[in-house]
Amino acid sequence: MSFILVMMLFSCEEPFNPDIDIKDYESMLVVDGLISNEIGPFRVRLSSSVPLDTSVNEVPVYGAEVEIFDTNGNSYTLYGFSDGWYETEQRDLRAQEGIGYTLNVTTPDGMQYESTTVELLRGPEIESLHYKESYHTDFSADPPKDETWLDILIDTKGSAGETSYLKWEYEETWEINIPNDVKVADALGNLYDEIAKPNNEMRNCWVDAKSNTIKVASTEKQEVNNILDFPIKSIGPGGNQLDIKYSILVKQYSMNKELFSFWSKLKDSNENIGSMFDKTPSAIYGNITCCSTDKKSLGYFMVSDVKQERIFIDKAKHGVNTYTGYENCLYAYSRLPEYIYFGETEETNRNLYNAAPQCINCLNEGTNEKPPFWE
Amino acid sequence: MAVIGQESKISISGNFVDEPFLAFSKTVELDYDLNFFFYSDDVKHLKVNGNFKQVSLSKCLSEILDGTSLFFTIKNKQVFIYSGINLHPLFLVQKNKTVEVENKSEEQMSRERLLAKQYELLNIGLPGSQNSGYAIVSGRISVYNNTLNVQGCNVYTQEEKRGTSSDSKGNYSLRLPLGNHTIIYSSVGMEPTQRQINLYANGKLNVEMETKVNLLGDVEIMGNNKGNLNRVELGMEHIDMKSVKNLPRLLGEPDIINSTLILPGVATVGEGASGFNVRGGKTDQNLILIDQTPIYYPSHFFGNFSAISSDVVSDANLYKGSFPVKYGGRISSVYQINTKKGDAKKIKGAGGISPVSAKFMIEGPMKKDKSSFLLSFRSTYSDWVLNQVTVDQLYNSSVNFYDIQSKFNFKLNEKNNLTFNLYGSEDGFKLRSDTTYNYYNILASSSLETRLENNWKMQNSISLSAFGYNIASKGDSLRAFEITHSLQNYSLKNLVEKTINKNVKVNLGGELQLYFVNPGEREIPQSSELTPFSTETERGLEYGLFAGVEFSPFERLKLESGVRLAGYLSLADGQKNIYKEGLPLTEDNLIETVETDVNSIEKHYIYPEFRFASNYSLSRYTALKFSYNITTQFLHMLTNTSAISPTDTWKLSDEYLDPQRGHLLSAGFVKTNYHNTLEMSVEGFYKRMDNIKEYKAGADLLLNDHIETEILNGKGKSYGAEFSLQKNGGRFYGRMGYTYSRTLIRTESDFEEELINDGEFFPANYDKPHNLNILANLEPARGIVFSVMTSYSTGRPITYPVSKYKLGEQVILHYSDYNQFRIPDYFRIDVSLTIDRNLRKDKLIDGSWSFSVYNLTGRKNAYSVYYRSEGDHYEGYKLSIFGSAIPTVTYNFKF
Repeated sequence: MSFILVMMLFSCEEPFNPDIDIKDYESMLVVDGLISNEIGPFRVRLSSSVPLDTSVNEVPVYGAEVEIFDTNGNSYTLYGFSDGWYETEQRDLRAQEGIGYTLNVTTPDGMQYESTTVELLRGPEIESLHYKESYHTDFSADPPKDETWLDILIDTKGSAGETSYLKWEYEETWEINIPNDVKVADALGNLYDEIAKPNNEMRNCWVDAKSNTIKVASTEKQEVNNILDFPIKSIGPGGNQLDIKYSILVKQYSMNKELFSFWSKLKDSNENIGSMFDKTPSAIYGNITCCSTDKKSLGYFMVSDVKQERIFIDKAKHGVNTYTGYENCLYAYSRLPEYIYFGETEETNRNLYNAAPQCINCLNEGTNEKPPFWE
Repeated sequence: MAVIGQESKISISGNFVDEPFLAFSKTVELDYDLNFFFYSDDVKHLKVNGNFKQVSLSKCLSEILDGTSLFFTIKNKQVFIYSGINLHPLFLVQKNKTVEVENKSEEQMSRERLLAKQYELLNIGLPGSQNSGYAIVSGRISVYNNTLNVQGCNVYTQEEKRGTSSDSKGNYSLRLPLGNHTIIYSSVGMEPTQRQINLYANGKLNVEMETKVNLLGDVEIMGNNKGNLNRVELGMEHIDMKSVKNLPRLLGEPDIINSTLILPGVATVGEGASGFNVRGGKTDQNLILIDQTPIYYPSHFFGNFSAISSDVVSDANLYKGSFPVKYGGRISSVYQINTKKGDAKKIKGAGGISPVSAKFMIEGPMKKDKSSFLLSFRSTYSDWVLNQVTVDQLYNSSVNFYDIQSKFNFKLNEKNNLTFNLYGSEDGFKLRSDTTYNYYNILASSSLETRLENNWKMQNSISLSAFGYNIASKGDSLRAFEITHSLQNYSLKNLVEKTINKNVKVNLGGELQLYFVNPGEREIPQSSELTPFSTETERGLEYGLFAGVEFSPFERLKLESGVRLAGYLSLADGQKNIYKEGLPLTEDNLIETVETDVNSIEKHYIYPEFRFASNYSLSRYTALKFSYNITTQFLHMLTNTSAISPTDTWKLSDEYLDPQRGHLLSAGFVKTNYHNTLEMSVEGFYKRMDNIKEYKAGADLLLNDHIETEILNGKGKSYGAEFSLQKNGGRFYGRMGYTYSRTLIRTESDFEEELINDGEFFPANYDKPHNLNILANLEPARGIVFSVMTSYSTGRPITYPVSKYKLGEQVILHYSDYNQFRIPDYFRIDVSLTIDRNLRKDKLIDGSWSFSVYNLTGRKNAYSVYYRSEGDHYEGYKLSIFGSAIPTVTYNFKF
């Protein structure tokens, strides 16, 4: 027995929810405000924070007055349309380089909030969005095993002498196919050679997912204003993303140092938590302040130069172990093979194929409309 | 039976029927303010019968001892009962006896002779050679049958209420009026002894003391251990290795650093956190000295082992209330660890095997009685064990550490003693990843002690202490890197002590310390796509000049006061960041980085530090104490993790980073009972700390070349009350300490970005208001010690999320103001059983077994509680370092 053994075996992380006695809790305005040089309306989202033990994660704010001013003296009014979203009526707006923008919000309770004035900084070009296999050891497996992962990496190239502060978001899309032919079993579990043919309408789908972690990087402290192989996403074995065809759209947002620091700290306080070497978390505020009182607000207002890039990855191009996601699906027996019924069995007809909905209907996971960009 | 000595005027009364003599003596001691001295074996079967009515003490004792082979002597208020040796002739004054009474080697002296010496009347000096009415007795206190010194031994006389204590070399000197005295010597772990002297002039009195365990068994001579009562220093804790060894231990190693945690006023952030917090101070505010040399990372593997093996430690002193002027450079405490000097008479050794580590120590003479050596080595063999077992959780993990210590001592002549010390330690670990962490300490020192005359002492020392770490990741060649940080300290110290007269003792000296700090560098191999990072090596020169005096203006009052001039020169490293005037130090306000002349003086800080301590005896058993101390610190450890982790870096004060200053006011009250078996003390303190280092939220402290933009200067205040109760001696002994204290910090600035919690006071990370430690030891038989240690403390402050919101698809947690909540309270019980049955001295190898269970109840004490965002949801977790009971068996041996 060694010390490390003791540390490993005796130390433990377990789920724990302390009784946090939150006195004088104060709900705060949250601004999710990103405008860019992409053509469209200016849109921001307003919500308010909720106590930790609430079942919902936020409450949209309706009925606020929202305006964006620029340093050229223009002002843009944003109107609420749904779920806390506010946008301009004009749909062909784009933020421009060299102009400063300020966001003003007056909430229904009369509080006024203002952002700092933010300029659009030109971001570096995406030099390449590519993927590469990497090899990891899964120490949690018993015994530990080597695994192949696929890393999606980005290279950027900026102007020399400048520093880039970047944030990336991505949207993933991948194809899933319900198998053509599946064996059926009766209620007792006996397998039959009869083949079930799921409904074609519900066999091919595309699934979407959006990034939900903070990805930021800068070229600070670097001699060159380039970023090489920054990992945007890593996909391990056991999933269905890479089983047929996968696509990822990476959007790159430029920002200033202040906002970069905001996002980095938000990441440290939310994602990099728990080990002995991690920083103690703290309250992080962005660039929105309340001007009528000292009431604080959360979130940010950012004006970005957007660059984007999409790549496709076919199953043949990588060595990651994948699953269809339908390995465990088994169809119940019916004597009427031409008829498939979804959902509950009708009392009047005992001879039905009856399957778990997720096994025969990919619409539960995605859409059967082929995305316009799909190659 | 015989009666010797002056006729006592004390008459006693009382009716005793079959009263054991022990009980009788205690009653009489209390009733008539007497001290009895005897071996309990001698009087074991002695019963007292008789109805005394105003019978003189000597008559009474004659009656009691009639028919036994025991003798008694009454001298002043002391009653000696002894067997075998008739002391009668020794009390006759022998004229013209030699000045040095006991300076001969006492090697051949029998134990009986040593014990008998307590009752001899020794003449010091030649009659008539001293006119002032006072003379100085000085000498060396050593261990019987050994050349080891007895350090920190209390030397005092009861008649004069005058005392001193021996220094690290065992030397003492005591100024007394001419005439008859009984000098009492007492030290932890040693049998108390005494010498009857007739003082004619300055003279030398060397004393040998017996160690407590092996030889005397149950013998107790009470009333001699005046630890805390007579010390002038307030809040000083003496820690001897014997008590450390009896503590229940984690993984089998007695730990000299972690054992401080049972003391009132000392706390830690949590298990797995290296270092300790003294009276509201940060972990970097403790000056930890191994002999003369500071050590910068005092533990192995996350604070679970002391960096120094217990076998080489002789004792340690923790100064948490008042600091002698010779110490400086840290604002909260001084922890002086004294290592053993090798035995100059014969080869000896010790070692031990625990589940985790093995250690071996050997000491002995190089030239008998002239020079000695001590060598010690300790290492884990956990990697070897790891290779024998296959546990998947430990895949790609390893831990290694070792430390090595050597000490060489040369007695150049009667007056000069030269010591060389070398210490090195290295740690390496890897936790289920490709990243390895390595760190090291190297300490080297040499010290020359000179006795110029009887009353002059001088110590000169030179030392080097280096600390550094490196973190390397080599697994993925594209992301490979190596981060290094290092600190070197070179120092020169001089200390002169002189006893001027009966009431005055002065000490003065100076020290010079040169620092080089590499704040952090990242090197990358060719294949890596990461970028290298390097900065200039910081440098600074710290100096201290001090003068202090111990004096006693009148009988009951003892004072110790002094001044220390603490200075620091920040030397240019070649690069300097220039910020806009009148604006907060932020990266945006950084105008430029200019080249400067290397080693030119950038900033000179100089502060006087006043130190004052007093002890006023209210009575023989009670004392009032008061102290006020100012301290300054020029070297800071930067950390914004809650524990010391090996990635924390040291930083020197510079133009932007003001020195930390501490002001500590303490007052206390000490009371002992008649036999000194119980000691009760109460101390209160108030401490103000200026420029305590805090950090902006989410500050980046590693590899940052404008680190001043991340650091905030805080003002701290700490106050509290410490209650301590100690029971010494007997089969049952222990201590109980309760501390109530608060430590609050606030940041001050004109700029909002330089404030934490809007500039309000917030509790420090280690602010734990209630802290209770109870240590109980029971010795059911000789050589068997059963110990139970109980600890309770309030949970430490933490920042919890209070609300949540969404940005895009991600749920984000919003945290409260800094440190507004607390983790659950801490509670732990440890037990241990130590069996050391081989008490015979002539045995070849003396082995002992120790069984202990750490965290007996298996309570999962929280080290940290945190929430982690997991995409569109989040989870709360509690991390416990030790989530169950940990049993250990250790075997230790000595030869």
